Amino acid sequence: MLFILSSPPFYTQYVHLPDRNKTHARIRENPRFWPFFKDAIGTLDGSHIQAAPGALKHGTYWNHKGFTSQNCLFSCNFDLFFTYALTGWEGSATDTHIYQDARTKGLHIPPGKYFLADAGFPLRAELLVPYRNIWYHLAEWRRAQLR
Amino acid sequence: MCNQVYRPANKEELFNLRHSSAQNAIERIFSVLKRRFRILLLAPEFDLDTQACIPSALCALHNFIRTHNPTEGPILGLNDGSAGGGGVMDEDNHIGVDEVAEGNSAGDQDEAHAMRDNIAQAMWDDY
Repeated sequence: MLFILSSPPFYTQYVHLPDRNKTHARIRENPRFWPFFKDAIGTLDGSHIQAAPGALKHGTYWNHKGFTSQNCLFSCNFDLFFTYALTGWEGSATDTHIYQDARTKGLHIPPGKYFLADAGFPLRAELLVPYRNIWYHLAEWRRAQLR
Repeated sequence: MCNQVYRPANKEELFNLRHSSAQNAIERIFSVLKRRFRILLLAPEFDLDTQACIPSALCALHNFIRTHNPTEGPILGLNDGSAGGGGVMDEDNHIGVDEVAEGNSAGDQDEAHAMRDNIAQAMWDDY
């Protein structure tokens, strides 16, 4: 069952990158995002999933948070559908390293398009990350939502 | 943190605020996935190849449920349009950043910085 769900045709039917020519409605219909993020095809991040490696591999699966994990890279659209997943990297692998591997394993980003990612990733034409060392507050957000 | 309310003071703050608001979809989907499939919080002692299949399978299953049960949108907080956002950056963000990314020339870097600045400036002009 596990393999049926994680393999074609089921997996590829339900998890796939979005149509390159469409901007997602949640971007298009939100004046705070449109037209600024018109070329965003989703958002991506790494996530540590608990893993139980054998004793020999314990070291490489040990992550910076202090438990053994597989580090996985996921992307989703703005409607909370997954659009890509790369699983199975050792917990000690960095997000940037996994991202680079993903780019050779099906994470195709059409020219001119990009994912939104957090500041743990490098800024690239296809990976839009926030400015670093810019402080912002929760309180600002409530006010800013009014605009 | 402070109780005083500020507006973003410059294009970089405004950009980060809106970027965070859109980008946090991934944090919300992680939280939904881990709530929905508690097996992700355990570490089942299958061989590693099998363990690697579990998150992929559950992503597909999550999408299957999202597709065939459209009424769950509100449960996922999709109707308020802005769950979360803002706040200080999470501790992860300071770890594992490669400032000089492999296979990425200085020209590409410049282009990416210019693109981000242009977006931030357009937001600020419109604000």
